[in-house]
Amino acid sequence: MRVKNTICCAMLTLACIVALHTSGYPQSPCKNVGITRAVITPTFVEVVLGLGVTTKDNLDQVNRWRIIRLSPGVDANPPVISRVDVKQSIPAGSGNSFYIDLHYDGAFEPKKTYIVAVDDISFDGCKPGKEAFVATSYNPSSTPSPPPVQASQYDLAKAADRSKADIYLFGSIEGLRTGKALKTVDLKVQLPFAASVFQKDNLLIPYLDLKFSSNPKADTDSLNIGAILRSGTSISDKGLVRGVVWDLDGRIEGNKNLKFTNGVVANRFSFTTRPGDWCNGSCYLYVQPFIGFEVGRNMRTPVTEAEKQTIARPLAGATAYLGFAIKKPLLDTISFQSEYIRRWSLTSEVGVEKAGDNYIPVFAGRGPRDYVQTKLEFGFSDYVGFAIGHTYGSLPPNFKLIDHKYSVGLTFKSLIMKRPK
Amino acid sequence: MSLTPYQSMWVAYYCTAETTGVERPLKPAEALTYYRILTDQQCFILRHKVIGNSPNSVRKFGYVLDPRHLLMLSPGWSMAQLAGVIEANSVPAGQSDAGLIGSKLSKAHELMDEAISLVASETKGQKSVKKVETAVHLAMTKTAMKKRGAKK
Repeated sequence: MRVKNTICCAMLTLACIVALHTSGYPQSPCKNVGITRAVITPTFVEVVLGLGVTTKDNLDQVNRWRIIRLSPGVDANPPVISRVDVKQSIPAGSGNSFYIDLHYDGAFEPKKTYIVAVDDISFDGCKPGKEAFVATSYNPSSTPSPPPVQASQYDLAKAADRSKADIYLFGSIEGLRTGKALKTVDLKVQLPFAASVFQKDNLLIPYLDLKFSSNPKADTDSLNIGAILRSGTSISDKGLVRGVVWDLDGRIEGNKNLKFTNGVVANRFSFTTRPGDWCNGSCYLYVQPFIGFEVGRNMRTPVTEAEKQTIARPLAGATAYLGFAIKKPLLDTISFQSEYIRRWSLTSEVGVEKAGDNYIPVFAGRGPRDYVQTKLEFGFSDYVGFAIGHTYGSLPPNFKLIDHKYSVGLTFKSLIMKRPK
Repeated sequence: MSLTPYQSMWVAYYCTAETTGVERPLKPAEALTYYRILTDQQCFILRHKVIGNSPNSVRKFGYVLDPRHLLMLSPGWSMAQLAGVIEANSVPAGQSDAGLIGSKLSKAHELMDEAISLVASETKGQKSVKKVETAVHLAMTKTAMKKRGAKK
């Protein structure tokens, strides 16, 4: 009875959240859209629009555009627009153009502010219901421009999930008054640096990856510390396989307290492919296969059986993404992500497991080991979603089997933005 | 001068389309996932193309881009964000070459100065090469005067 009530409450809350968000859908696709910016060059003004325009919007008419001086103390009259070019659409043939060149007679005074405006703008026939204008100023560069400011390359931004995050931390403690509390930690930190080793644009990515749970049945007990040197190139602009990326990975893999560690050098070749696109672009399937080889040696162990053991593991797998854009009021998207990896141990590997205060050897043996992580997400709107996760398989060094671990959760994701007054 | 917004968007869009092989309608505010850039490996190939390894790279318009500016490129970036970074950080190829030559020249000067000071310190403990030059010049003058005196 209590369980039923809880489920009813959860469903009601979910329905309320979904209803709140669906009621907030914009009424018009071009509401409040206008000119995003205008850049003055010595011969023309390049106008950037917030949405694409087509031939039926007639924005190539000179008399619809105006340049007005805004700064006080500007002596000369503002330039007069002599020709308007709606630039070729990107991609060519799509018919929607976001860029317009206004050719002018006259001159802009440097560092003075002007307004670029257009009368009665529409975007493919859709009227935004507001005036379209933007303020801009002319900053001529007679001398070569100084190199760009070396601002920090690092900033925080949202990441969709663990695999795409550079910093990911999940920790939980669950306990009752009687018995031991269950502790779970899932931590991932990686930070890319520019490096020029094999090519100009190599990436060096030091990382730390820890998965640990005090629940023996859900404990992967896996800690990886290392660095990846990433290289790659495009193979072809046609066909299924588009590029290849080589990850040279040097790492220490061990258990959470580093009582047992292996030194491993891994090579992984990932093949970027052409996604399948169907239903007028509403559904897609992307598969990125990879192959590789891991070699290494035991560096530290509390059990004699694992001393100086060698490691040799060919591996293969794939990452797959399947997505459907439903675009209905109660169901916006359905997405499915999965990562599968199979390792073949060529040597008989031995891990360790804690039994009381001592460690005992775990004979992982030879043969294939699978690990698969899957996530199915239902997006009710841009903000609210429902996700189901599943994990099965084993990871080095212990290759302890995680036997179908499930997770279910409601997600809410949004940015908070300050509206201009 | 830097790349115009249109040129930057051209580079961003067509390099993305080349990476995936899919040309989706341009929506600048949409994340790269909309254009089917879904993994870090695809981002690496996209970055590789943008900096000069594609017919639609910044080099098409006579510019170069330091790959460090796209260090954090990820599927969560919007197309407008990628175009903005390309626009803000591309420099004319000539200017970049001149900068490179300039930096090599100043490096050469530094090496020359270092070599001169090494020579100076090796030569009778004298601290500056000017003094060495002066000493050498004086010695030569004295020898010449002696020779002239001997002739007379």
